[in-house]
Amino acid sequence: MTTGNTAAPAWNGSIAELDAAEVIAATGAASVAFLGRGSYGETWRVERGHDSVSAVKFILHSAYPQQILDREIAGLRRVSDPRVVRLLDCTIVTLSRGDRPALEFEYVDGRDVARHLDSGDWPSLIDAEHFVRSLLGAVAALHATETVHRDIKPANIALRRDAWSQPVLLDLGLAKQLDVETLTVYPTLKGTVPFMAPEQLRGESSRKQADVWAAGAVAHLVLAHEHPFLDASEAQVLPEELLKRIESGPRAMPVQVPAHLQVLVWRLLSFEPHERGSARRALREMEERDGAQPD
Amino acid sequence: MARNPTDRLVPMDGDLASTQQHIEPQTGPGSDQSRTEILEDGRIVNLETGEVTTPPDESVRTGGPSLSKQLDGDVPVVLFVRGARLSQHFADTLPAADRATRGQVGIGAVLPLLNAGLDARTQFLRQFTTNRLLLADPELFRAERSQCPDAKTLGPRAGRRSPWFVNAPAQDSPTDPAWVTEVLRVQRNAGATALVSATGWVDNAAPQRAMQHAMRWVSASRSQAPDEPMFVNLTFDHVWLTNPTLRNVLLHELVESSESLWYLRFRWPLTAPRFGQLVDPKVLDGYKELCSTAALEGKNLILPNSGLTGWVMSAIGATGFSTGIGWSEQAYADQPRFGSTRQNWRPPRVRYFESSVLHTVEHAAHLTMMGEPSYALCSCDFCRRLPLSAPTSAGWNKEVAGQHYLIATAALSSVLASRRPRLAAQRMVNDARTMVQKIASGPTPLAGDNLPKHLDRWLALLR
Ligand SMILES: Nc1ncnc2c1ncn2[C@@H]1O[C@H](COP(=O)(O)OP(=O)(O)OP(=O)(O)O)[C@@H](O)[C@H]1O
Ligand SMILES: [Zn+2]
Repeated sequence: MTTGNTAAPAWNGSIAELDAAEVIAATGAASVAFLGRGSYGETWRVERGHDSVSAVKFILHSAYPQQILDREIAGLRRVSDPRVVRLLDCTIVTLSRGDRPALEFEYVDGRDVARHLDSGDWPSLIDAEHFVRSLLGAVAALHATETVHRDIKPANIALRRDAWSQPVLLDLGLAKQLDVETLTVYPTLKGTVPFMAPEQLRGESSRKQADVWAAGAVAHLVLAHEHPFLDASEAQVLPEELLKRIESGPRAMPVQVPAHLQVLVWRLLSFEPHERGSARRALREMEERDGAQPD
Repeated sequence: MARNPTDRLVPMDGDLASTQQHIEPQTGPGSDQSRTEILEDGRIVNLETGEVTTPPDESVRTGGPSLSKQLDGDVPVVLFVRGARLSQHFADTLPAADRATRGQVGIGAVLPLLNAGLDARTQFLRQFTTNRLLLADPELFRAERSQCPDAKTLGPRAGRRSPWFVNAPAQDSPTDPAWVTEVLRVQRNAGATALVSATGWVDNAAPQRAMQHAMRWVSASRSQAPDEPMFVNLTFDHVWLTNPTLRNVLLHELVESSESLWYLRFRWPLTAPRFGQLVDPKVLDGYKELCSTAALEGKNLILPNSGLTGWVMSAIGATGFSTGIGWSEQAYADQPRFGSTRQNWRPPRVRYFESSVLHTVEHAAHLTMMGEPSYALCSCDFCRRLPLSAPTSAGWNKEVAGQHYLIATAALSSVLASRRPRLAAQRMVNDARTMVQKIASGPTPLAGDNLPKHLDRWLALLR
């Protein structure tokens, strides 16, 4: 744990802009640790007391629109589900560069899915099925509050206590509360390319069904040990190329993946948003299946 | 489910008296021939002692599904639309339909607000018990500033009676909470047990935007009725069903939205003959995709003004439909433009709905059908008042025949209250086809407008 002036780089090598003393001063913490940098700011683990640990995201980008932040927070506050990271507080903190918003989240103890997969830790098929179901549950819970994540990918799904059955959706950094009043259209590519739905890749507005797609792509990866459209070496794929692959359909899954999961994941990866069905529907189907099965 | 939206007044004396006159013995199929009768207001009369008792909960209509079951889409729903004619007999029709369906169908009513008089606007829906689905339809799809081909300009007098209609803003204008409040208020005042959103025609020129605008007004309506049952109320041209791009926009919205109640009306192409069925295979296929999507997503989809097409769609995934005695209540369709057609004026037809062929036929064809040995006379409360077997249509009463149509339609829907509604409907359509074939081998086959042309299409849909 760093309490000195310069924070140690995050596990993935990203470097902090803030220094630990500044974060301690701004939060009144006993000790802090740098967790990582994102597009709008950086996240620190903040420990105020023995059982008071949280993850604070400092919005450093001064151009980050307050309005968007406000809406994001309103959406997040309405989600109360263990599968979605809990927002504890939103404050303005004083940093050396000026006053900045800080979002304080529950600290999720456990590494994210990307780190698990990078270190070769794949779930068993049974664990993978539990994971998929909880992930869909997380998406459904988020959507029920009219919030869209827009950036679901392995790095944004933490596993509580490193258990595959307990995924937690993180980093609602791009999540915005859905508000048809604004008719928002995103002209630029945002989110992370390999998990983007075709409509996102084409620069159209992304809605709930784009999250359903992303959950499908993550599910495919975790169940089949392969991305549905890309080879392991193709992380830097261009959107146009990915779109072409998507048009020719996802790759087949290994035979040992149960048929009902293959069918489900294929549906979640439908080109037409409505054909994917809602996360709520997918969740209901998985639950009904479980209920119908003798223990 | 949500709390009851209607803080309805206690029925006025006059209302109560009028409902008491319409005591109907319980003679529907399957109902036990006990010595009690159920009044429209739910109270029970013992025919021997004359004693009137109140069931434990007055809000529960005896013999019908609860409103929350209907809103959850757990039972088929049939809504009778008040038309220009016959509105005064509705108090008879709904309980008769309850009996004919043995309480397996949610029988409700729709009051189209525009042509309703001021009395009807406050009293029509209130004659029914609050466990029915009762809608007061503001008919905003034909508001003046809509792009609907049937947009209507009201005269000054009519306009004063329906300011919410005259003032309906264009869909792409900023949401106007005061106007939305007014649209919801008229519905609550009318005694509706569920609301419809302050929305109307969704134009197809720029489908994505038009849909977003419509949904913006839906959320404005929702924010004023957060806890009340409210249907997303949209009207479209049928191209929204046939054109894949438009259909995808509609289906995407259905899947995206958290709203669970949908009231979707489609303007059909010219449908000939009047009182015939929609046969355009592309429109029917579009409906089918809509209905199956709604079912998969657990949405309650009501197809207003869709007649028996609505019945077939209820077998495929819709929760229900609305229909009425007049053709304009049975179908919302493009109308032939007079003057441009060579059609001559013909005397009004005397028609009768034949459940056994799922088609409305003229009186002469009805007589032919009665000659077929396997033909069964309808035993509904209203047919007993029709000279069904008389050689001429002289004593024929159109209103009563219309009520028979409503009861028969409701009875068809009770067949769908099974675990396999599609199969049940398939059997009915198959039987109808067999009946048509039997008659065809007799002396006078059904021909022209009397020959149902939709049965094969329906069978294909139901497979
Ligand atoms: N609530 C939390 N509990 C524990 N760790 C967290 C929490 N939130 C974020 N992290 C970790 O902090 C690091 C940085 O996260 P942050 O949200 O700032 O950026 P990001 O997800 O890498 O990028 P971007 O915002 O651009 O998508 C990540 O490694 C993430 O796993
Ligand atoms: Zn009859």
